[in-house]
This record gives sequence, C-alpha cells and structure tokens, in this order.
Amino acid sequence: MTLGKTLAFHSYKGGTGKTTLLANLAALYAMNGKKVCLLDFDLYAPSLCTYFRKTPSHSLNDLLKGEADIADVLMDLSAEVGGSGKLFLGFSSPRKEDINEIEIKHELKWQLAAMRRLLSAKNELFEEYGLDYLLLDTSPGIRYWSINTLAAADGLFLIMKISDMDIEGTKNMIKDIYDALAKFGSKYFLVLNKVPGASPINEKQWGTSEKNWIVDLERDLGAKVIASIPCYCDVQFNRHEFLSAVKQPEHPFSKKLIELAEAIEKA
Amino acid sequence: MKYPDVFPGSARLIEGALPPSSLLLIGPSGVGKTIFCKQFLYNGLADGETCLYVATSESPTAIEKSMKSFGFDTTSFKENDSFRIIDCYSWKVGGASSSKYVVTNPGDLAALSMVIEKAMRGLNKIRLAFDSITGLTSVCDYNSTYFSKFLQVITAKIKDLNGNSIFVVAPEAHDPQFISYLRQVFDGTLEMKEDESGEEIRRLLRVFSLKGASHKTHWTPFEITDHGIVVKNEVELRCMMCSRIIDGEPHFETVGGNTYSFDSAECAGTYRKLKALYGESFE
Repeated sequence: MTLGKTLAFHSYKGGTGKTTLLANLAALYAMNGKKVCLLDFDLYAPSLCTYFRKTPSHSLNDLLKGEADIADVLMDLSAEVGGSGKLFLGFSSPRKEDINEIEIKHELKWQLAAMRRLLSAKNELFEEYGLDYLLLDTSPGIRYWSINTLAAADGLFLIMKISDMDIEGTKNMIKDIYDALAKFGSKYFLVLNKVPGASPINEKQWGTSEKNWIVDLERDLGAKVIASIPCYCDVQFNRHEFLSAVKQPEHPFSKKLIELAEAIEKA
Repeated sequence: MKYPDVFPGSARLIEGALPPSSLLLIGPSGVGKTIFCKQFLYNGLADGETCLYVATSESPTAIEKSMKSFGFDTTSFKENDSFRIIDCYSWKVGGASSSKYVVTNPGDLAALSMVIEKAMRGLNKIRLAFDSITGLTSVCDYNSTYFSKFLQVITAKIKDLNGNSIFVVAPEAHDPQFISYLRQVFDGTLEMKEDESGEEIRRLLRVFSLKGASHKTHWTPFEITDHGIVVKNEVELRCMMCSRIIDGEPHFETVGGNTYSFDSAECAGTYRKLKALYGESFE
C-alpha cells in the first residue's frame, strides 16, 4: 500500500500565519479531489476550532490520553469546502485545564504513551481513510509537542516572517532540530509569509529585490524557500478570514496558495 | 509427537519432552506466578503425580479455594493425599491449619527441610512448587551458602524422584546479585514480565534457560483466564514505536546496538528521529 504524506507546519515564533495557511491549503487540496486530514497539534494555543467555529465532542487531547480513538476525534468538513475530495479535521482542546495538563505532563512514560497513540492514529488514518495528505499544525518554537509532531512528519514547512528575530530564531532551530531530523529522511523547506511590499505603491520595486534577498536567505539558512506569500491586509486583518483560497479563487492570496500547494506536491 | 503441558505453555515453548528439572520462576508481583504454580501442580495431579505446594503467603484453605475458582478442584486429590500443602503461612495467624504438613517456624530452614522430606517420603514421582523464595527470605536470617545448600538439597531430591520443581522469586524484593546467584542453583529459568507499552498491560513469559532441552527464548504473551493461564499460540510482535500488533512482515532495524521490530519503515524512521532528539532517555 502506498502511504500518503505527512506534512508538519511549524515556525519559530507565533503569529506567522501557519494556521491560516494550513486551513486554506487543506481546503484547496480537498476541493481538488485529495483526501486530507488536518490535525491541530498546536496543543499549547489551539485555534483551529475557533477558525472552523466547531465544538468537537472529543479532542486530540483525549486521543493522547487514550480516552478516544482517532475516529471519535475527526469531523468530516468536506461539505464546507465542496469539490470531490475529503477534508477531515481533528481539533485540540482550548479548555484551560487541558492546555495546563499538556504543559505540566513532563513524565516521560506519559509522553511516550501519548506519542505512541499519535503514531498509531497516524497509521490508522492512512490505512483506514486512504489519506493523500495528513497536515499537522504545530506549536511554535522548540517544545515537547512541536518536536514530537515534527518527528512524525515526512515534510517540514517552516513558516516565517522576514524579521531579524524570526530569521535568527529559525536559523537556530534548523541547526538544533531540523538538521537532526533531516539525517533520518525528513525534508524541510521555508515558506515566507506576510511578506511586506505587496501594496500597489512598491510592488514593482519589491519584486526585483525579493529575488536577490531570497537567494541570500536560502544561503544563510541552508534551506530552500518554497513560497513567498505577500501580506494581504484584507486577508491578514479580516476578523474572521475563512478559507479565502476556496471562497475567493480570484484573490491574489488564493493564487499564491495554489502555487504553494503545487510546490508542496512536487517537493 | 505432542507432549502435554508440564507447566503452562511448556508444550509450545520446549521442543520435545521436559526432562526432570528444577526451574526458577522470576517475575514481578502480580504478574501471575502463583496461578502459574497452581496450574503446574494441577497438571501433575491430573497426570497421577503427587504434588507438593510449599506456600508462604496463603493458607491451605485459601489455596484450595483459589485453585477451585480456576477450575482446579483439588478435593479428591486432597482426599487421596496426592496433593500436599506444606503450610508455611498459618504460623502467622496462630498456627491452626487444615494441612498435615505445617511449618511452625519457616525461618528455621532445617525444620522446613524436614517437613518437605516428610511430605516426599515413600513417593515415586512428585512435583513441587515453592511459592516463594521471596516469602521465605522475608522471615529468615540466612547466609547465601546455607541457603544455596538448602535449595540444592531439595531440588536434588526431587530430581532423584524424576520430578519437576518450580521455585518462585519476585526480583524487586532482592538485590540483583541474589537473583544471579539463584539462577546458578537451578536447571533452568522461566521469566515473566508485564509489557505496558500498549493500551493494555500484556503479560509475557519466556524460557530464559533450560539444561538438557531445546527451547524457544522469545517472549510469548499469556493471559490469565477463568480457566487459568493460557499461553498464546502466536507470538504477537508489537511495533516499538506505535505499539500496534504487527500483522504483516515486521520491519527490523538496529538502533544503538539493539534490534527492534517496527510496523513499517515510517515507524522505524520516527523512532530514529526521536531517539536522535531526546537521546538515551527515549526508550
């Protein structure tokens, strides 16, 4: 049996737009006939349930505790996207008690058991649901569950904004974590998001200098930039941006997302 | 030729007949050592042997009741005196015992030897379960040479009668040196353990060593059912990473000098990644 791909989206800092990109990407793939599952492993600050406005009866926290199976956790949201594919969502719990529990559960035995449950669920997702893509949202930075989620994935996508703080942090993270994972077959790529300069005033000028800048960045970080997505104010600052990539296909953001989706398929 | 079970699972784990042997059964508390002994003895009773049960943690009445609950009714064997309980327990509760073979001071190994010899006298073939060395050492002062002599005398006498014996020990109650030393005294070692890597605790058994017989050495799962211990037919291999039972061909990989079985190359890859990131603490 040919397994699909497991892709994790990660960042050094919060606020890089991971969740927005991932939700849109998952919807795009599903709309185009792929079977996709998106799991919210940003266990320390969950936001996908707010994004999709869902209150699931079981969360990924229940799965990690061994109190629910993956089938109990998943919600089929294919109808909200339309198209011929499938979109399953697994949400983590935004309850204060559940987040605290994840924060304080440092006992290795528990962590190992939880990791085993995640991997068992991952295998089941590919075998039982025939997934093409399992997309994992992760917590920013180097934390227990961001590392675990990254280790469970084949492809790693580092979402970053082009600020010095983000670049330096990402650089260190690549050295400490990504290079170790790459030794065992993981591939990783950079996705620049919220790139300034897309406004009509300086778009032309930025387009030229961007190329040179990206070459320098790739050399500095030792990783390939797979996409550069401009900052679109109407998307970024919309109070409830919701699957723009499929709801507004003519929007430049949607076109950039399609490019990203294609680049990931080829990666 | 199919041989009957001498101890639970012996027909599966040992190739050919089990020669008369003294066996050390090592396993943590609660894993199922006592029911293993009771089943070992009941198999012997059903085969016409006289069976001796040296019990340090249960009264004869409790032993018979517990055996009956698993379908091992010893009433008729007790009546014809083929089931003999050497009671090293009742002294703790005042001495009254339903057994003819009572040890009033188990700390006195000479006295205990005499009671065991008395119970063995005049018999042709016997089997004995000693449950347990841990229970005995908790109430007696001994030096290792004297204790070794005590065990060697009993095991030799049983072998002389073409009998089998099992001696139980809980390793967590002793220092590792004592366990290593015990291994030398017996013809073979059976080991039990609990595997907590999956959703449910699994009990596992293996023949670690056995003189004079070929045997399998892998861990084999067993269950404690209403009818006693059932050693499973097939070896259930679980993935070292995701813990699922491996249905198809296992994927073996050597990591850090140890060979592990995995469900898939993906699981093996994830294990390697986590091991690289977390180091030795990841097991």
